[in-house]
Amino acid sequence: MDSATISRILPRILPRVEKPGRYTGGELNQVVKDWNAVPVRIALLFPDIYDIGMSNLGLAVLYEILNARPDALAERAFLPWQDMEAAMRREGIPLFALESRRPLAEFDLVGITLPYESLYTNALLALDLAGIPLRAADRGEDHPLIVGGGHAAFNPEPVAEFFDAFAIGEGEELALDLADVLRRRKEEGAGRGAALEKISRVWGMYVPALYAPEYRSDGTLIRTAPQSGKEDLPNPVVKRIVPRLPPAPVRPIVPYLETVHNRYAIEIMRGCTRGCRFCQAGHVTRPVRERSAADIVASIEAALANTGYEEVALLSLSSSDHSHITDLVQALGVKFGSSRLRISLPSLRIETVSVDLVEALRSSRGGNFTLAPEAATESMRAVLNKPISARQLLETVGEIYRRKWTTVKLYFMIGHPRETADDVRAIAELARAVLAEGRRRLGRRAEVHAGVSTLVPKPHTPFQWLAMDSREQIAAKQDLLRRELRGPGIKLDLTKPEVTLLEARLSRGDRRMGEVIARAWRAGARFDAWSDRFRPVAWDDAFRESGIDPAFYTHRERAADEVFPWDHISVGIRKAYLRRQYEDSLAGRTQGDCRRECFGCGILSTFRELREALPAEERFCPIVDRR
Amino acid sequence: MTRLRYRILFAKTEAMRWTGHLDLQRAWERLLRRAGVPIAYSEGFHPHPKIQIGAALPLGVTGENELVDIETDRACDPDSSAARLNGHAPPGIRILRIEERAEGSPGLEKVILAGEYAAAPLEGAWPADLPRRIADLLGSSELSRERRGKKYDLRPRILSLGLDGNTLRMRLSLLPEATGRPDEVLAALGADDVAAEIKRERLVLRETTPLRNPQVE
Ligand code: SF4
Repeated sequence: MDSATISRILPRILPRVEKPGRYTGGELNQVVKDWNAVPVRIALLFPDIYDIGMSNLGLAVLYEILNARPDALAERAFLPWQDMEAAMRREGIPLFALESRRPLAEFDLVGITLPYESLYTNALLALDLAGIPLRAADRGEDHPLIVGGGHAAFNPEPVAEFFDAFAIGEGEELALDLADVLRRRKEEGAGRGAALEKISRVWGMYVPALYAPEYRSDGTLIRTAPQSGKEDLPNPVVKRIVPRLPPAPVRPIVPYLETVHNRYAIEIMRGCTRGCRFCQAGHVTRPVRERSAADIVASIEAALANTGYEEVALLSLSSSDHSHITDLVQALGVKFGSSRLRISLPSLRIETVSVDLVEALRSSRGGNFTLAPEAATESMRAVLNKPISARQLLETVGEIYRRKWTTVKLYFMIGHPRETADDVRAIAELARAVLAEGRRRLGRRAEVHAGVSTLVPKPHTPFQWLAMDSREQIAAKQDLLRRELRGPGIKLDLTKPEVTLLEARLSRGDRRMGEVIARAWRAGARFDAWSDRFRPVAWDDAFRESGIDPAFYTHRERAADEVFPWDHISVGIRKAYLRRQYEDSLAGRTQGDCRRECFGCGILSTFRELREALPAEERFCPIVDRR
Repeated sequence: MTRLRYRILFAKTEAMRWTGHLDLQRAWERLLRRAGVPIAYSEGFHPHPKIQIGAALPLGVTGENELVDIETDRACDPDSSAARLNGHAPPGIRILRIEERAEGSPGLEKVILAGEYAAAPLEGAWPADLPRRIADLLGSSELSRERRGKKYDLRPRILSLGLDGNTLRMRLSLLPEATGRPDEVLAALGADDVAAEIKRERLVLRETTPLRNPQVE
């Protein structure tokens, strides 16, 4: 079906679906290029509905970077909701891009964003709706190249057979390199195999078909390495980074519909120096790179002029760690203090100066303030490497309530190594102590919301060797919390054990997991991140029918020298460093902030040349002498 | 603070027609902000911008002469503001004219009486016996329909209805609590399976209203 036919049918079905604006495109700042005048055509697919996907910053960044090239076009695609999916299947409409309404199958490359593992089945749904074979091996010369990227791609193996290639790491420069390869392929009329061969040599690209895993009889890995004859391919594949953050997007598309985050978002800093041992983002995004206060203010100003947004979010993993955060907040106050702009500064350290920062940006009273203590006892915080005392937390929340925020949201995690029932009970006690602090300042208006998730031992973190809690252990800990944390002023939000277990299996899996994912998808698993559409039974059946024991991936403490399915993908951190962190964790030893001193994680040696090419004041790691 | 009131005549077309009333409200807020129009805000705990859009359009229906009232903190020149707004307008919104509105003059909810719609098949054709169905409908004294689980009588909300070549023209009430929807009229005529393009060509306003559409009355 061509774009003209799709355009003709749409007005007939749109009046009968919920939120038709999800499928029309045509928003402010959308870029539509002349298809025939542009050689490189890329579709950027976020495998969830428009409302979710349009809030993804990575998509906005790639859209702007690629469309800035005169020889390339980038268009957006999202999954339809159930009602629209049914209508599309009935009418034979394939998944299409919003800008040109061309089917995804007409593009040279479809880039699929995978920020989290619960989107794997959605990626299959998207390929199916696009009429593109699910398995890379079944695609022909005329099919687009299917490339995955995003944080879930740091262990690409579970979905390796569905993708032609993965972009490992940061996309800003990588996307341009890929566009170059596609352009040359067009000029030379090169075939699919030759193009993938070229792509496999671009820094940060991983072409899974050119690598093969080898297993022992007990199911563990011997290695994953390039196929014979391809020994010159990178091993490991080292993630791509940009030595210096390029200018932030300033002309993002403004959705008409209300989306999850309908605002201008700007990344003020990438990477994190805190080294919380459970945190995958903190490890895979190293080293820290910051945008200057002046650049941030200038980008916000330009973006507001281009969008008219009423809200700005300053994103990073740990905002208070930006070396010029105070200057930045002051500058924003001077520039926008008199306007009605709402500015949010999430991910703050638990200390009273954080409250000062947010207060300075605040435009109205009331509302909530979020903190993430993660654990409630000193011993658990030492395990996680998140050393903040209960006294410090209570002092901070005292300030928060005193300044009339009525709700404090606290994020905790259960399932830590060596965790006892007392550690879990302490979460309830701490939350109650926080509420008591609120009552003292605000009376009965004060509230506490506690969000408690379960630790997933993620790849590329010190906890990758850890056996995670079983379903029964998680359920018992959650029951304890439910019993201990109730009453007026308290809200408790627990992640379902099934959801956490699926996330763990998918994120830790190897290539054999592909079979399970395909089966679960055929049995109806999709939108696994939506509690009303999540079907744990489809997954249990898929594991059973594939003859794969999920416990093998999640409930087994790993030997120190076990080869992981993601060992041939390097985020720049040495495995020996992670192992030492793991052992320190079990021994309750903490480690400080690597802004002050280098702990030799490997980033410096991996990216030495890049670092040395930068002017002295812009060099990453350690950055204490920067000012 | 002195507040100034303006009434804006605009068109809502293209993808914009698939967005609802709240989305249009937000699009107007952002447009006014981009164009630097000094929009006034309500008092109170959660101040909101003083923008009032007249008579919501059903999803998918385009509007050629729609109205919105705004209040500003400073005086704006209507003509240059219209040009500036058009320079910043998103696809699907076009500003046609702006006029100042006297303090104390009635708001849009008090002056909008009805809307005039034109519906034409996008593909295919109307049922051959449509003229007879129209005559039957106009001849009935009551037309019971159900919308969102509530029963109501559509007949008094249809002020006029007739075929003009291939175009079905209708004038439907827009009084609060008595809004007639063009898609409901098509359904009542048994013509709702025809893929039609529906336009609201103009709003019918009380006399003495600023920006009363000259084509009307
Ligand atoms: S502070 Fe800790 S949890 Fe936050 S990003 Fe850094 S390492 Fe991760």
